[in-house]
Amino acid sequence: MVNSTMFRKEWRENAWKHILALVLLSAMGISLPFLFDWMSMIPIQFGGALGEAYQRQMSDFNLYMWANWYGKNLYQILIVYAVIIGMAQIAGEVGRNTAGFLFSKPLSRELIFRSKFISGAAAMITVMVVATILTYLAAMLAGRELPSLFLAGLVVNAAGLLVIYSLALMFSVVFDDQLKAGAAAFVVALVISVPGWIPGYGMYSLYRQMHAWPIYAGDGFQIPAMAVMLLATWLFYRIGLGRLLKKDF
Amino acid sequence: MHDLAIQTRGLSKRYSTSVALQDLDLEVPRESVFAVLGPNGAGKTTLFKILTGLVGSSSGEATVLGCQLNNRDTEFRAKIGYVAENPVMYGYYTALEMAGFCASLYPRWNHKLVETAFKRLDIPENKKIKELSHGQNSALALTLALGPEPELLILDEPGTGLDPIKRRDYFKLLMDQVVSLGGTVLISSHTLHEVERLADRVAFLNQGRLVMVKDMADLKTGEKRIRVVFQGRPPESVFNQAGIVRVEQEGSGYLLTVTENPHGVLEELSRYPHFALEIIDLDLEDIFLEYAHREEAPQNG
Repeated sequence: MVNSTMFRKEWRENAWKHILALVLLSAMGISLPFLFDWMSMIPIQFGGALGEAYQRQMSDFNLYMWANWYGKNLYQILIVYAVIIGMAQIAGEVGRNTAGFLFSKPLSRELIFRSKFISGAAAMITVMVVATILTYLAAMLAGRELPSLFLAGLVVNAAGLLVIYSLALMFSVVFDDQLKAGAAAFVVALVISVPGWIPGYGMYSLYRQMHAWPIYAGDGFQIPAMAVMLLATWLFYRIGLGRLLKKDF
Repeated sequence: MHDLAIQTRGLSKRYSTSVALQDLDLEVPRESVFAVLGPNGAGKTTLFKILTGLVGSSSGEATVLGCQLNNRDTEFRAKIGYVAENPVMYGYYTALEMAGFCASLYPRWNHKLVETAFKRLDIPENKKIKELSHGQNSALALTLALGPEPELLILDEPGTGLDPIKRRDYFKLLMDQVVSLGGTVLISSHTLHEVERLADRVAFLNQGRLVMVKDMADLKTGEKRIRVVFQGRPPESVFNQAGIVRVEQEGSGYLLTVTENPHGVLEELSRYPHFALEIIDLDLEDIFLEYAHREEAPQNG
């Protein structure tokens, strides 16, 4: 399924990016429960619906954690993280002039692509899971309790992460310059956010899905949305692979 | 077993604004050292990249070690060693780790040979690749190409940056471990005296076209220059003999470039009264320049 040598190479190559992401996400996650009491003491400066929502959030620790972790920190970092890892997968090899060396080895392009995809995805999901578990443990350490359902939001975020990652991976085959690949992925990632800004169309936004509110509300996983995310991942992956099979190095 | 290591038929590679290879028919016998020569931009690197599967052809066919290249088979790559013109490897690995990386990708790997090459070429095993000198980097790339005990070794301008002693050591290793064990070497180099020493067959490419293919021995015995100073003016017909491809006037004498039957031409010239008549041997560099000149001449009108 994957080539173990390629797998190890990818982990080593991106180790610092993964460590940085883990430190950043963990620092954000761990600080959240400890900031709750302090933030509760800050007088609300704004009124209206926004003020009400804020007040509601600060009166319920579970809601506060969900709104800040899944609603803000995690998915925002994950988008940037997925683009940074994805954009370098093939374009990085071309930019460093190592593509000729790698693709002349007795490995099929399918296997190289698959190994790169899976190693990147596995590393990012590991970082995301570890940071979320640390966040959960930090809540316990802060004397608060979070339902174990809190961890279920990871499933939707993993699916969303794969969409953005496969998108960046696809552009990394299309463009030889990883910055161009990243820029293209960011533009598309921005376009995907548009439904989230239109009242009544929020459910069509990938990022709103990554907030995982239905899970918080006890409605379980949104299977159609998850299916669309996995389908989009498969589609971007296939387009990327198709381009790679025809690419000259 | 197929007696050709490489066979191409009508192989072409076109880019949107240029043609890199044009209807190339090439046969490289097994167990030979085959040199591909040509000026910059002749299509040598493109040919090598097609043969290693890095670049797809626009039309035509190529067979490498009996394997058609227009499929996704990677089996043939396990039998090939390839060193690009400017080999770049992963800078964060040490030389030894890089060897380990390559070893794990091939079904067979000659650790002892790689170890020997590391020592002979003074490659610092534990130094990171990004810290290696240009010559050490070249030496490492060449060494790693020997690791899988390749049936076919493709070397594109090998050993740039290597000092003459290490180049000689490497090519000795190459001849001992690849050629004498039945392997084939396809090489492109501008270091023509080295090619002259190593290759037993030579192809000349220009602007993507195959201009000639000859055995090195035939090339060196067939391609000559003849200097002649006649007594009086010779008849024009004397220069129209088969084999004479160029006539240059040098003062009162003539310098003829002959591509075949030089001794027959010499005999014919000797019938006319002359002050001087001599045959001049050409080395590969002279022959290369001669072909390059001949190819340029029609374009320059």
